[in-house]
Amino acid sequence: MEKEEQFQDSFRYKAWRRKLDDNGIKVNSVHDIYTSHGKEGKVLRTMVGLDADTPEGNKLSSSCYVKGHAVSMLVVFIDDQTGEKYVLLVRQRRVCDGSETYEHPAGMIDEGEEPLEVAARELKEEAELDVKPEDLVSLSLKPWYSATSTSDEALYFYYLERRMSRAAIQAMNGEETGEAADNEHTRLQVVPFVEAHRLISNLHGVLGHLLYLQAVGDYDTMKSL
Amino acid sequence: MKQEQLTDAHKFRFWREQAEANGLKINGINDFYIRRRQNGEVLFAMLEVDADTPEGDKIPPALFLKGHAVSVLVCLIDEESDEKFVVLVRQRRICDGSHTYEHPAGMVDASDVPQEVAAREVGEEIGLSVKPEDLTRLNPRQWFPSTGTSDEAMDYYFVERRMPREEIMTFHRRNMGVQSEFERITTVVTTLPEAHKLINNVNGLLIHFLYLQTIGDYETMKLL
Repeated sequence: MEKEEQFQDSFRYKAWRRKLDDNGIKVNSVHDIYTSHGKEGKVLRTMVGLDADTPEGNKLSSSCYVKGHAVSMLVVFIDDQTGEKYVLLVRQRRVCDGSETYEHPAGMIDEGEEPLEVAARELKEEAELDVKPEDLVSLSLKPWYSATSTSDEALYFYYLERRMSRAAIQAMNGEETGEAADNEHTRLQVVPFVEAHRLISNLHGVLGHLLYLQAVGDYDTMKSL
Repeated sequence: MKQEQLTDAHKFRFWREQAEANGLKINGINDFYIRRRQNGEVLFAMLEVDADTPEGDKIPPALFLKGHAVSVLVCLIDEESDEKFVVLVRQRRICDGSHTYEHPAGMVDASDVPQEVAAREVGEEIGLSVKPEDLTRLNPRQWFPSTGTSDEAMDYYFVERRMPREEIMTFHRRNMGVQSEFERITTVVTTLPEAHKLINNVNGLLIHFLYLQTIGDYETMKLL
């Protein structure tokens, strides 16, 4: 058993604390409510309990789920004959309701990593797609928070377009990825854009579709959602 | 004050029913932290779940139990010029300790109907009186902010009100006081493209797109 990292030593905690300091928050005390560790005993996420004062003299919320930053990637395959758009989805059991959800590929940013590099690497790992960072187009100038009142989690959004034959698109369907050791059994699914929008049940997926369609000016698809 | 037990809490029972209906076999639950409302009701809980999936795996165990929440886009329309304004709330948030700009939002309690909570939050957070039936829902199903770590699920609504410009501006910079220990709120009236720049959370950006898509205002969407 590796020695487990303490939450105060994790880079995610330190980054969040720096932001509180920069924004004038006085933190009087912190404690570990619940920490999840990943590979080599590194801290993945911590529910931090805290007592903190704002510059206005109020108390700040007494807990924060410190999760750090992540990337979310919308992969659009375009049929090179018809121009039809397909979306790559990752199917996976999730604790939110115990169902198999459909989501876009995503990944956490580790210490010292650039969001764009993480995005390209995750697409390689999750979908075996060879992607150079410069193939990805940014949909967010800054990371956006998932739940401002309870967590520091924030995501960068990217999209990738690939033109290919219908047969090559269909060949992506049903591939199994992920490592059993990570409790991460995932399956890939490639479905038409409109169907992907119906299947997806997380905020980031829905927002990713809308951001992309706006960015490329595809209002016809947007109207059909 | 009688404290509600986790296993009696509506949000826990709802999550458990859903998870079991979707095939999870729940072997055990550990609670590390429970935050309660003043009336003793469970508000949040940090849980560790031991559960088997139908595929024979263990589900990753961390579960931040939060229940359901609502968010409302309030659009005030100048009755002379048809110009549109949204009303945001500005408050300190734990995500980074800064003042964030958001749409009125709130958590749904056990006994509440989401649409009623949405109407009430608009009244409490920006001082506009709306009835639940004035609100239009923007999402066809509930959406999850963090599928891998929480049961939190969101509903989105909008309401439009036509009024004179002077009345619209009375909603600007209202101090909505301290409703609870953690909420000191100031309101801000702004245009949609400006609001889109001020907002740095996924809910707020999403509700702009959903609203403009629902009313078919793609010209404004192009400005975001």
